Amino acid sequence: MRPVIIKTVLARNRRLILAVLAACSIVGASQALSASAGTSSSPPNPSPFAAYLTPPATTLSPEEIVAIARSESARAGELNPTISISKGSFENAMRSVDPSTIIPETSEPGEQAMFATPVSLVVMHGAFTLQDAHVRHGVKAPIGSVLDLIIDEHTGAVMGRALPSPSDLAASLPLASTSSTKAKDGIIVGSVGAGGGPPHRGRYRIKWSVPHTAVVVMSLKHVILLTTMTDGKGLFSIRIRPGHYLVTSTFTNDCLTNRVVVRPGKIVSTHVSCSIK
Amino acid sequence: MTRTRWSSRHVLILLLSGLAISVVTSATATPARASWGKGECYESESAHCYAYTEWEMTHAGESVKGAEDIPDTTLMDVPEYANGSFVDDEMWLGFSSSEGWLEIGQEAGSNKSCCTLHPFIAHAEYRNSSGHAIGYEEYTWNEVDAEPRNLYRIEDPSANGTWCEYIWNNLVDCHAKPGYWSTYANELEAGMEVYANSKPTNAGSQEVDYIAHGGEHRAWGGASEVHGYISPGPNAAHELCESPNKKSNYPGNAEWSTC
Repeated sequence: MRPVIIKTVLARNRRLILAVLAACSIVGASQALSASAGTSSSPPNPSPFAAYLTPPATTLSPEEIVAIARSESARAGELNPTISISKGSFENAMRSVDPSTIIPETSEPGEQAMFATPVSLVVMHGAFTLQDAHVRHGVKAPIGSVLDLIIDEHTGAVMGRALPSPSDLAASLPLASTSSTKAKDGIIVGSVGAGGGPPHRGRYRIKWSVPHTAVVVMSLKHVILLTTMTDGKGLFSIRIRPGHYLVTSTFTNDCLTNRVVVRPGKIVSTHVSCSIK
Repeated sequence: MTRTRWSSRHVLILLLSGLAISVVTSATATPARASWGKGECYESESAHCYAYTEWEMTHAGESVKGAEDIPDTTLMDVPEYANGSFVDDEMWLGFSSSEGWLEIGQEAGSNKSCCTLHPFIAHAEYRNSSGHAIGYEEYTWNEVDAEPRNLYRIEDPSANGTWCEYIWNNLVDCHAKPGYWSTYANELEAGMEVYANSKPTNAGSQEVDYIAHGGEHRAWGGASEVHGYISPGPNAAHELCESPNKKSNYPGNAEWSTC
C-alpha cells in the first residue's frame, strides 16, 4: 500500500476533462499539449541540441579512463571488477550496450555532433548495484553482473551507464563491430516456445517458453550466420544487417524455421515454435 | 617521593590510555548518517524521495500510446552534487505486467553541477521477484544545458512495442523489449525525484498530457483519477510539497518544491 500523503485529486471534474478532450481533437498535435494543459504559453522553441558544446580537444589517457571506471564501479559496490575498454562514437556505444537501440537519422548539426562524440565504452564484470540510478518510487536499485560505462573521451563525463539484461548481453556486439557494421542494421526480436504435437506458427499451441536455448540465424541457403541464446524468459534480440534470413532453434530436432526480412533501422519479430512430441 | 613520581606517571599512562581508547572508539564508530525529510531521505536505494502525480489506470483496457511532460524548473541547487546527489524533474511511463518503465526529464547534480539542468533518459526492462530493476540504462547529455522549461515525450509511434524518447522535438532513441514492454503503457507519473543526503533546493511546476491510441493528445484522467503523492512517507512530506498547478489546473499538472 503506497502512502498517500497529499491527495490533490486533480481529476474530479469530468466536464473539464471532456472540454479538454474536445479541444485536443481540434488542435494539431504540436499544439495539443498547450490546449490540454490549458495554457497559452509554449516551451522555448530552439532545440536544446542546437547549442551542443563541442568538447575540448584534449583526450583522456587510458589510465584516466580506468580511474573513472574504478571509481564508478566502487560506487556500484564492486571494488575489483574486470575491465575492458573500447573506443567509438556515442551512437555506436549506445548500440553496443543495447542492441535494440534505434537512433534516428538527423539533419541537425548539433544533434549529429552529439551522437558523434568520441567515447570510451568500458565494460566491467562483477556484482553491481546502482543505488544512485533514476528509478520509480518503490523500485529497488538496478542490479547486474555487467556494468557498461560510456565515457566522454574529452571531458571524462559519464554519458551513459547500463546494467544490461541477460537478453541484451546475449545479443550485444563489441564496439568495434558496431562501428564497422553500423550502417542501418535492423533487429530481429522474438521468442522460442515448446509444446506437444507438431510445431505451429503462432503461440496458441505453445505450452511454455524455452529459456537459455540456442537461436540460429541462417542465410536462405541454410548457411549458419550466427547463433545466440534466449534469456530466462525465452526471448532473444539480434542486431544484424538488412536482408532475408532464416531463424530457428536447436532446442529440439523439430523446431520451425521462420523466414524474416530485416530492414534498415527496423525491428522484425518472430516466434520459433518447437515440438517435444 | 618515589611514590609521588610513580603516581604521576601512572596518571599520565592512564590519561594516554584513555585518549587512545577514545581515538580508537571515535574512529571505529559508525558516523551518523546524514539525512533529511526526518530521516527518510538520503543516498540509498530505499531512500530516494519523490513528489509526483500519478494517473492510476484502474479501469479495464485503459492504456496510452505515449505521454508528454513540460517541467518548468524555477529553483535548483544540489549542494552535494560532487557526492553524486541529484534532483530530477521528470516523467515516468510504465508497464504493470513487467513493471518495466521509461523515464525522461532534466536533472542537476550527479557529479556535474549544482544548478545547471541537463536532459536525461533512463529505462529498465523489468522488475525481478526481489524488486530490483533489471536491464537498466541511463543517458545524460552533460554538454547540453536544458532550458528551465522544456518538452519531453515518450511514445510508441508505430504502436508496435518500440518506444521512443524525444527531447523537445528531437527523437533521441528508440528501444524494444519484447515480452516486457507492451504496445501500450498503463502507468504514468510525473514530478520530482531526489537522491541526496542533504536537502537540496528545487521548485517548479509541470504540465502533462497523454497520447491516445489514435494519436490524439489529451489531458490525463480518462475514466480514472489522478492523485498526487509524496514518497516514501509522512516524514518526507514535511520537506517536500506538491499542489495543483494553479496556472494550469488540469489532471496531473502540479507545482512541487522542497519546502
